[in-house]
Amino acid sequence: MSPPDDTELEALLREGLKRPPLRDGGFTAQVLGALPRRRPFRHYRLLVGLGWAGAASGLSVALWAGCSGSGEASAASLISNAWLGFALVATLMSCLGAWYAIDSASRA
Amino acid sequence: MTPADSELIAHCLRNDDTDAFGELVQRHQSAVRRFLRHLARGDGALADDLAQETFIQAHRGLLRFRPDSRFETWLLGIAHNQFRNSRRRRRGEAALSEMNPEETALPSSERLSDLQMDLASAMNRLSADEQLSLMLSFQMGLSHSEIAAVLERPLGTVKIHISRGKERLRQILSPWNPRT
Repeated sequence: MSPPDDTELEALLREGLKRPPLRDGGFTAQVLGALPRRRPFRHYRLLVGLGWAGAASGLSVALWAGCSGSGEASAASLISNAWLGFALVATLMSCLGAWYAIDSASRA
Repeated sequence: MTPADSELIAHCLRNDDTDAFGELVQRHQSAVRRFLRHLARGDGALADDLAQETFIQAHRGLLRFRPDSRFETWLLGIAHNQFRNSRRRRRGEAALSEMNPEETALPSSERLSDLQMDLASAMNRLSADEQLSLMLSFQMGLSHSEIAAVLERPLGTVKIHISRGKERLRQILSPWNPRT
């Protein structure tokens, strides 16, 4: 008997080593169940702190800007005050930052 | 249309999408588990544990995957590392190599043809490296350079293993020669 040549041997190997795919049988579900939970957002406490500090500062500046005007200052003149506008924006942004941090932490 | 692996990976990375990763696991579980069963000499439970760990590692390291390579090749590389680490951990316990290869090389649930039985028996007479290289090449369809990447061996070494393995099989399998 002569040994098979290279092409025949390769065909034999392809045919002989062929196996049907293994059935999943719950393997994928098991892997997905074992995946580590999303890493908690590490700096959320810092962000919440900064957010509330920013909000408090903004409100303080707003109050200071409001109180330092003349007694008969109208609401319109208060809003037109640049300091007050800036303080309100800072307050809003800080509140949003704090909310985002809390939300991220609760979903993690 | 079925999304390509690269699209699913991008989806996983962008949205932390577990469903997309599940699709990837479903697609490649057979290749990874079969490869590990071969390494574990048919120990299905060990192979599946290692396969699970392989996918968890892959999920963790998805950012390190280079899109210019095949996802399955990358997974098989992780699986091979997992197996080596587990073997290192198990050193001192009952060595896998001491198990009877006739009993362990082929999962009992698989019905094999005469050719497959003879080939499996012939493969058992090759060295572990030769068996592994031939299996990756002819069963999984990996190129020589992909096999070198999975096994972390030089390309020349892989070529030698394949060539020597084929040469020995040629002698062992001469009764299967269709010309005779």
